[in-house]
Amino acid sequence: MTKKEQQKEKGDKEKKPVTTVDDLYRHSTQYRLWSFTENQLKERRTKVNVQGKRRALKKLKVFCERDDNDHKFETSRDLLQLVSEDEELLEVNYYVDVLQKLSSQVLKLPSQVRATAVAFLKRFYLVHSVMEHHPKKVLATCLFLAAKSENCFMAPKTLAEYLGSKTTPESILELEFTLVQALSFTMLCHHPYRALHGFLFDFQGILIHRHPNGVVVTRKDESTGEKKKLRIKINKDRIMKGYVAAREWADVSLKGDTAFLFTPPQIALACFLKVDEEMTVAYLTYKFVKDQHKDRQEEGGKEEEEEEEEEDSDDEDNPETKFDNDEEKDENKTEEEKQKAKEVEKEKELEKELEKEQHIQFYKKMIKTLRSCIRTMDSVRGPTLDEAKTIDKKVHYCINPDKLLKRKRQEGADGGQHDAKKIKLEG
Amino acid sequence: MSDIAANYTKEKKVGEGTYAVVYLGKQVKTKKLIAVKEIKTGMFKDGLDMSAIREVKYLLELRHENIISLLDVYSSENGNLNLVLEFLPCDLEVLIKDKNIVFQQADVKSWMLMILRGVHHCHRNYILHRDLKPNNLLISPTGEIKIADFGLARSLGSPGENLTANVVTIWYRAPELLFGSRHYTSSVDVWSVGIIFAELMLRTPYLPGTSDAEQLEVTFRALGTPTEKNWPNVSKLPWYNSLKIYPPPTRNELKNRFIAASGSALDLMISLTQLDPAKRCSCEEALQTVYFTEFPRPTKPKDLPKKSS
Repeated sequence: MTKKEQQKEKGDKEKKPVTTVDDLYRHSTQYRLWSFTENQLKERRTKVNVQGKRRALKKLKVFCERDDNDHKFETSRDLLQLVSEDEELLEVNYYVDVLQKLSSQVLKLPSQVRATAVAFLKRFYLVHSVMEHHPKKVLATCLFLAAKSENCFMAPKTLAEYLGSKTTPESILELEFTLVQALSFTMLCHHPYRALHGFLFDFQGILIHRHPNGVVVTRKDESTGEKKKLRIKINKDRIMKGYVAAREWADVSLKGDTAFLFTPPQIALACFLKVDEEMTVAYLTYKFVKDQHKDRQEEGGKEEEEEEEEEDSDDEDNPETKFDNDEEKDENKTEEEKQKAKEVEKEKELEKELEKEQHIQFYKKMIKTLRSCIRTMDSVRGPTLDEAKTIDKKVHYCINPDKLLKRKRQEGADGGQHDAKKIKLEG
Repeated sequence: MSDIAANYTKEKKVGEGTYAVVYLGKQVKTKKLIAVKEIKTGMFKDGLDMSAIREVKYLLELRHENIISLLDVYSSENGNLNLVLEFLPCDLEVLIKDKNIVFQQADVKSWMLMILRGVHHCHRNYILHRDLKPNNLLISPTGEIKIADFGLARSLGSPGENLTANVVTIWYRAPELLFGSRHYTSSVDVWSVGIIFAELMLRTPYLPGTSDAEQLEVTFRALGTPTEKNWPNVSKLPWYNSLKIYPPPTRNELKNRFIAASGSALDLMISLTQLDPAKRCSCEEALQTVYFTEFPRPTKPKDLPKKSS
């Protein structure tokens, strides 16, 4: 190969950067269509709620016009209690909960299927309002489609038998196409489970195999409240225990907006951080800061494990590792050469400092993201049972205005004794 | 939704299967030729067909020059699901069978490069195709290979998850599948690519078994019977029993079988068709072999042989 060709090849390589896993995720439909900022989510929900209210009113109007008992729309519309944006979200959260309990406790489905069904349900209600399609009905179709799409097929008849009462094979299938359309035909969902499993191995790789002598962590003294650095050994049991607990949090993360706002690896790490902060911080600092320098030192044939002990920084967000490079002293070199070597050394040093700074900035940013992810996970609010019943009743009448009219008629006839026709909440 | 339907025309029915009808049509705005796969819905007791779901699911995630593009999805007035795909007039099987065409080594290399790039893209997205064969490798008017038919595709299994072994057309089915393995990986696709490579050189199917049982026989007669020695734990697979033991072929035998193959072409084929899936190379490794960098350079897609007619 000529020099020119070599240069050309180098040039080509520079033009085509390596595709990272992150790049691939950015091409996924989950990222392109179903990831949002908080504001975008809010906007969508407002839009869906407005659309739902409009359709509920229209439906009532149509029924009034058709009704022989001559209900005036103008008088009936006051009876119709529309669902607010907040209530709508509470209702969805409530049924996410129902769906999760049903799929894990009753149907005993694999976590992948459960998570996908939940994702479908939540995505559906960013397109349709609960006032258009009752979540109780939609969740059955979500379960059916998720199972089918995740290679875990369940016949509509079987599923209907499990779900009982009003669910029939027909009612499940009836909404399938509506659901697929609401999803814009995207069905591949990425969940935190695979990422969690990957981190389980990487935690072991970094915290045990790479640092057999233990890792340095910052611990707060219970009595004095003082932060202290110490070297500890993290064993396999501790990692495994963290993994099991983190997996439970991954189930929790399916509720609420976490999956709309964060990527699966972010959620997985946030779960680990939540259940074992010390271990996770150690992993992250070694993986993204300390080991980055260690690699360099090893390249130069030096490894200074002990140095870590001398660290004076005690801020977990600032995991600086001090390390110095012995200046090369060579008596045989001329002053000029020495000067030059010194300059080169200085430049290298500066570059290293810069790189280190970048690693630290990256780490800080990541910790910030993970903390915000934990806050999102913690902030999920489901309705109380009373709230749920109230909202569910509203939803029921928005979808079935004929029943509202019927009730009105009955109330008129026998003074509202049948008012308490309960809507059963299953689950 | 039906606004989208107005963007496309369906002009000619070109095929009909159990779950879909394929039409040739045009994108109204650009006059570009397209294919519309109309998936019958509502007539099945289990709802949308599983193959249709897989096809849409995976094609929406994959965008690559060597994978067929799904341009649009819409529902037609009768409630059917319509997939608008790029129009691809030819496939690799047609070319292999067309005895008027001569394949140069550079042509074979070009096809292999495109196939491996496409399959690699699936694999790095954790998607297994599970039905690679010349018939599913479509060819664009400009000569590019486009992997199609994701009706059997699935995501890489989770640890402990059972997968079905009943995938891939038997001639291209990896030995672990022939043995009924329930835990397999992207290496099943790599095997298929290896067998397609052989077929491109031989111009005839490499391992044409007529039944599942005979496929084992044909495969091992050509490549040797796997044993505990060259494939640890193989005897624990469900359908591994009372096999006739064939010795693995020597390099010389392989050389005679593929007369035109260069040393590095043979090396690549051997890596792609390792019996033990753990020893089989990945697409990435295959793409980095000398075969693709040594002379001759792969033919440019537009200069590749085309269907004679």
